[in-house]
Amino acid sequence: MRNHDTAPHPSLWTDTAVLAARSALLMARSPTTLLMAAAFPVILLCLLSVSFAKVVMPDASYAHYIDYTVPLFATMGITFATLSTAIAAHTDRTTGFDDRLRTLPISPIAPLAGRIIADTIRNLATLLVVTVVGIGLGFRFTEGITGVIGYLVVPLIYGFGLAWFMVAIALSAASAESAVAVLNAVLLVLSFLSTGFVTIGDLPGWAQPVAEANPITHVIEAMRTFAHGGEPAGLHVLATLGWALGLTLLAGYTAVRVRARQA
Amino acid sequence: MLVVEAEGLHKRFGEVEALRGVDLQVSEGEILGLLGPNGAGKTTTINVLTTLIRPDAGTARVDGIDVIADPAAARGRIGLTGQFAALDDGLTARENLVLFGRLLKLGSAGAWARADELLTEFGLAEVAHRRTGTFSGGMRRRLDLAASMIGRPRVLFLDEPTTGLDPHSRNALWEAVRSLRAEGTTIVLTTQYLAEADELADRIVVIDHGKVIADGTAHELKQRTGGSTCQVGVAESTVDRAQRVLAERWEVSRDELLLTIPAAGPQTLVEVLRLLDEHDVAPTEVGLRQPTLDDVFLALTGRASNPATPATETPAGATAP
Amino acid sequence: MSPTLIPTPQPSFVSDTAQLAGRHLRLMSRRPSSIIGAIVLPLVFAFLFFTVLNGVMERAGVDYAQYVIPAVVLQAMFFSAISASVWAAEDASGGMSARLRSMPISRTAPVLSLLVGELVRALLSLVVLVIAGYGFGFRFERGAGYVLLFVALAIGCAAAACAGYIVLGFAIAKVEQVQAIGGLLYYPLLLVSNLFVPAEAFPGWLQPLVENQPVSRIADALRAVSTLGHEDLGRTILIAVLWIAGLLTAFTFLAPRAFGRVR
Ligand SMILES: Nc1ncnc2c1ncn2[C@@H]1O[C@H](COP(=O)(O)OP(=O)(O)O)[C@@H](O)[C@H]1O
Ligand SMILES: [Mg+2]
Repeated sequence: MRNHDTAPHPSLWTDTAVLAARSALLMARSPTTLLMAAAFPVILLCLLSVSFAKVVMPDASYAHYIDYTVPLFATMGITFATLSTAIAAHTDRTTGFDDRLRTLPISPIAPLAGRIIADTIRNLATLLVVTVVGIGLGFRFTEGITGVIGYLVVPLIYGFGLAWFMVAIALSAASAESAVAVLNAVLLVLSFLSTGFVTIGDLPGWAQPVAEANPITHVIEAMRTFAHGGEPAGLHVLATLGWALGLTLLAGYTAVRVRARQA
Repeated sequence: MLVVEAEGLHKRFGEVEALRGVDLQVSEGEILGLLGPNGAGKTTTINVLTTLIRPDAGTARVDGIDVIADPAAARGRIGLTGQFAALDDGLTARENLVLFGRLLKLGSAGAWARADELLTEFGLAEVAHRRTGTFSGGMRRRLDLAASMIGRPRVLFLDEPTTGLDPHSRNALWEAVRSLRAEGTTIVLTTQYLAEADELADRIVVIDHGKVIADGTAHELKQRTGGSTCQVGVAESTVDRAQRVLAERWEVSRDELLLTIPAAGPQTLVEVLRLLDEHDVAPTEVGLRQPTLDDVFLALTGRASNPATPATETPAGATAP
Repeated sequence: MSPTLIPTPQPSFVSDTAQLAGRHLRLMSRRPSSIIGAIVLPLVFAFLFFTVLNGVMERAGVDYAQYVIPAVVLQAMFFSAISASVWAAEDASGGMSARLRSMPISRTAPVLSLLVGELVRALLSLVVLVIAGYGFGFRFERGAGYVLLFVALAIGCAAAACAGYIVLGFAIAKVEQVQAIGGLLYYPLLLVSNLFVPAEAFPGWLQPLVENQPVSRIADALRAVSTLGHEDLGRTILIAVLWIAGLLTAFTFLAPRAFGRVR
């Protein structure tokens, strides 16, 4: 007979850590994920910066435009890499892996939390890769270590909220392929209708309020301030936190509910 | 009449010699089972016979046509159900069949009629309008089989048709294959399952490492392992004595507490039990066992066919208390 | 029932291609991600490029509607090409290619039908983009003959790109890898070109490449036949036609060979 004391107990921390490690390992071994998370933003950074620089900032140097766009491409990298979060979550749902987890004596939050944590690690990697390449091209930090920390933390907070959103979609969508196609278009619109490529004044009048509300704008503007000063980052940080918190609560609630209903 | 004749087929993929001189003959109306473990060269053989790859050496004729010299003509005589289903998930069952019918120049009306005929024959009439993406493995496999029958081929090639199917679907597919044979189609099927070859094939060709290592009916192959055996299980305290007693009359092989004796028939079983009884040995289990194709494989190659194959050698006899 | 009721079927190049192209179009029309890729995504890009860059391009003296519609048309032609490579890989990795190759049908039909189907899709994208372009202010400024020339050049480019991507799809025969490699080809070809910004915006050392690569040359021709004021019209068109013809010849030579190699 098995002693009750030695029966496995759910442990939020251990379970989450184990599942986060699994997700991270799968990501590191998926060429598609690596491509989306690392190659894609670096390619865009190199190719788009070099082509847009003289058009957007005719009088400035390429390095100056790189300074302007590295936060954008880092954020776009994080944004589009979350599509692979959606795909992975959907795969776990349809292959029965989720069902197996449900039958194990583990914390019910761990499967979702594990995935989100693994995502955050991947996002940090994206951020570092893009920034290091950017530094090679002329990107500079001028605001010291606190600036660097702020620059790294803000997009991670945004990625955290977005990951919950993607998980919620993955748990509800019937077809991963269709969902990804739609999300891809939505994320493109979000990325472009921001202050990422051009300054707010160069956008048409109707698009300016859209860009001002866009979470990507807030993330990028906060990163720019943290990297090389300028107008205070406070409001942008608050807005990013607001978006992330809103997405986490809303999508997290949906995800947990959908998961419970599917049980 | 021979419908398939292959001689000395060789095929090399870089380092791997997939075929090392395969000879094959299939008579009209026959079901030939091409049996071998994973990587034996079954698919490569089928691919050569269905014009998908050219062998490095050797000749192959299907229905009298040289498939290497005139692959285009051979394609009119064959049907292929490959290892992976060749269906479009986005099309309905009927649309899938009509497409192949059109490609075989049955015309629009002809393709529809033939599709309906096959859907009924393969028990898919009720799901004809459903997209095949929603089908179960067994339904897909049957539709795939139907698709290769559209042109009424002289020879049908089936590459591992039941791998991955549940027993019910497998039986349904076996039934379909048998009814095709009854209509006069010659069939070459590959399988890793010894029981399947036993069940379906008129003749079995065993292939291993790109070579044919045996050829015959299931019965003939079983004979090669030396016929049936009598098996007796005994308690540990009596096993040495039992072995000694039986060894006086028969050639006994021992595996832990199980003694095996070549059996001439049920009579041997009776004699074994009487002899043991005279020496106060109470068997824990006895049985008369027919050789399985697993034994055949073991006897031919000196190794087990495939660890994944479910064990089928349960002694077919009573168990003494 | 006699097994030889029907005469041995004969391959027919036209009929087999038509049947298989019909299959391809039907499958695409039922795949939401194909429809999004053919219609929605090109529109989203047209809308985004126009919205984001129109302001800065006007400042640089470029009529961006005239400039960017040919660009997004070419981009959509590449979407068709990527789609072709994925379908080719799907056919090759499933059993479809093997079955078709073992059937008494035209040897070129399976490859050509993929091309034909994708060209129909490309034409649809083109029409949708031109209609949307008229909303942004794009106009065909030359006569009807030039409109036809515009269509012919765009579809010719689609044919060359599709043929190349079909070779890729059949040669590699794995969907994920084909998507990854196809994407890695697509970004430099489209972004290091004059598609979205003029060649002069690139650094000096890159300009010869940007100006002379085939995508830029074809874009030049599309702009020349749609917009008044281009010098050397005949020469511009000729260069584009030569590029298209050369690439198409090379790839159509390779495509059936790649198909024949499929496992
Ligand atoms: N296209 C190929 N390229 C390289 N090796 C191959 C190819 N096709 C088959 N082989 C190799 O040839 C051998 C026989 O393969 P196959 O005919 O598929 O075996 P089976 O169908 O009996 O499992 C295997 O070792 C396999 O790895
Ligand atoms: Mg095989």
